Amino acid sequence: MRHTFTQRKLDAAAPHPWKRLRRMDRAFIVYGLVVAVLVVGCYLCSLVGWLPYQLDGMDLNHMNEAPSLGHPFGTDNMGRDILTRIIAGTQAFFLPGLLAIVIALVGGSLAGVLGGYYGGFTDKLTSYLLNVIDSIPKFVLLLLVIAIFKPDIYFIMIIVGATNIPTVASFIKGKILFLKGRDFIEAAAALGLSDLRIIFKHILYHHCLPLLIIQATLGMGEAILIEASLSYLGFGVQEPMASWGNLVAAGNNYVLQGVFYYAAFPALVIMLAILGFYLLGDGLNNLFEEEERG
Amino acid sequence: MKIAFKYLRYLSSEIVISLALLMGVSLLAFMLLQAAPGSPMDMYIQAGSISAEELDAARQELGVQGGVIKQYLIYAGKLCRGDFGFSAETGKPVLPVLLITTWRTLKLTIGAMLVTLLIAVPIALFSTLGSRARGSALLSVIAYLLSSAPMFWLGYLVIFGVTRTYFSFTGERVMPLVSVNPWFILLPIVVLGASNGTVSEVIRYIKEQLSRVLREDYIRTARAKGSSVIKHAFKEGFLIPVVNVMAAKVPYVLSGAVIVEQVFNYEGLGNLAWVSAQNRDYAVILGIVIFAAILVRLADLLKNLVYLLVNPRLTAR
Repeated sequence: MRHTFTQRKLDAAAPHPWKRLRRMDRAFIVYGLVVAVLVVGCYLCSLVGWLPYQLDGMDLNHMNEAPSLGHPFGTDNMGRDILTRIIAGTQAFFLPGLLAIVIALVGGSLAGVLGGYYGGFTDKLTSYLLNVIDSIPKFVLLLLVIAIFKPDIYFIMIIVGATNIPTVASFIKGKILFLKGRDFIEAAAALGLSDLRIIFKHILYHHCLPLLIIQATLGMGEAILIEASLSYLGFGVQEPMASWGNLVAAGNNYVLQGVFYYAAFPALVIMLAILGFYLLGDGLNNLFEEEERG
Repeated sequence: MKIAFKYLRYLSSEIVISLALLMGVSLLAFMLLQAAPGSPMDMYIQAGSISAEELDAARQELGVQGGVIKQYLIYAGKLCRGDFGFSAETGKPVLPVLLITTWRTLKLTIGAMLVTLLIAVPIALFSTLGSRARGSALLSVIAYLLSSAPMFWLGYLVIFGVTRTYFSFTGERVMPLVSVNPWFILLPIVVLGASNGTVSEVIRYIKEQLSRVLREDYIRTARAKGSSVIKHAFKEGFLIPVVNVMAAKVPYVLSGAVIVEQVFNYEGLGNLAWVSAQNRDYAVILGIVIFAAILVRLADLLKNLVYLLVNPRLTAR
């Protein structure tokens, strides 16, 4: 980027937030971005069928084989390449996870706006409803829904999104209450802008976007964890389809025979992916805080 | 005397709010059930051949006649009398089972929260009060790793390690470890406490709040006149944040308990929820939802009690 003289002076006075960030936070963000890009990349690859081996390509001559050059993560009990199944496993949570994120962000923003901007009775009602959702532990509610309807991953993720609404809403509400008395909101209202425009453009878009991005990042980490946990324990994504939880579950049957990598590689992938999204969320949080400090 | 009265008034208003929330929870669960494809009566129809009169009698007995609202009111009335209905699977009343499993889950949960605190508090204190050495970065990376380790995998590793060490492992299915040695209850507690995903958040919250309080003027005054900073910062900078964050994390810990109980075959609320979800045992799972919500609300009440003891302003309303 080209800098004019004055700009450079300004930069010298107040370095870019990225530079002011602690080194650890910068490393967190970089690591998180790498993970996010890898997950999206794997998803897109598996979508167009760009896989190292065929997804269901059984090879009975190479069952439970240790990692090698041909199969970097080894093969499973039916001779299928584990790396291939890990890549394809992103399909199990990616779109459902996005659905959960969208529900949480849209619902949370709406509830936050209703509570923070309008106040009064609407505030009481929304916070009552959100508290009701907050009172039920997530997995218990998920099991109730699984018992009532079928254990479909999209259905599960709709509920996960709904259970995240209170968190997002409380952040948005806090932000709105903080901004409400500010001059620019009053100025916008005095200019005759409609409530909707003030809410969506001046509050949500200009001031809550960082918050929403962080929540989306954390939401993807959570989607991975929930999909893996439910699949591991038998609800969620079912066998012929690849999923990270299924891989660990299948691999655990062979640990006693000394086959460690089968479960360990998918489990490590789960852990590192979740770690990436959590670190990205926290790092971005600190970055946006620095930015706000000016 | 007057103060005691104010305390009572504050607490009773909190209790009323909690009861209202519990009613909301039961209504929500009930409405979800109403949206189910087919009716709960199908369970009975499938269970065996049943005549139309018998079905009507069963409806009468179970209180599933009339409109949705009437049904809910009947159900809520029964709940208030402590009647949680009968399990469709075993035919036994649900309440005794719920009480036993809730107690077992409570042990697990409280233990796990203590473990979380044991991990989180030293790290938070060290990285706030200690020098900004490399150690604190390393510790928070470890906390993040623990938080993102999938519990089912960590639990399996622990079970594997223990079964390898302590007794020969023959069966396909893991036995309930607690029945082998009561001390094995510590294993699910440690796994749940260490990796339910809240450790890093707890650390971050305590760190934020403590360093905010340490920047306050009254701490500077305390430091200037040479009195103990720790003593002045303890209530607002440590006690309240810890109570606050732990109360907020109760639903997460209970949620994690579902996974851990399943992995360790520990017969608590989560395990029961799992079994009854598989059997579509609606009465049991509704009861579990309500009991879990009761635990969450109790934790919230406990938090408010601590607030009350620490912060006299609350009663001034």
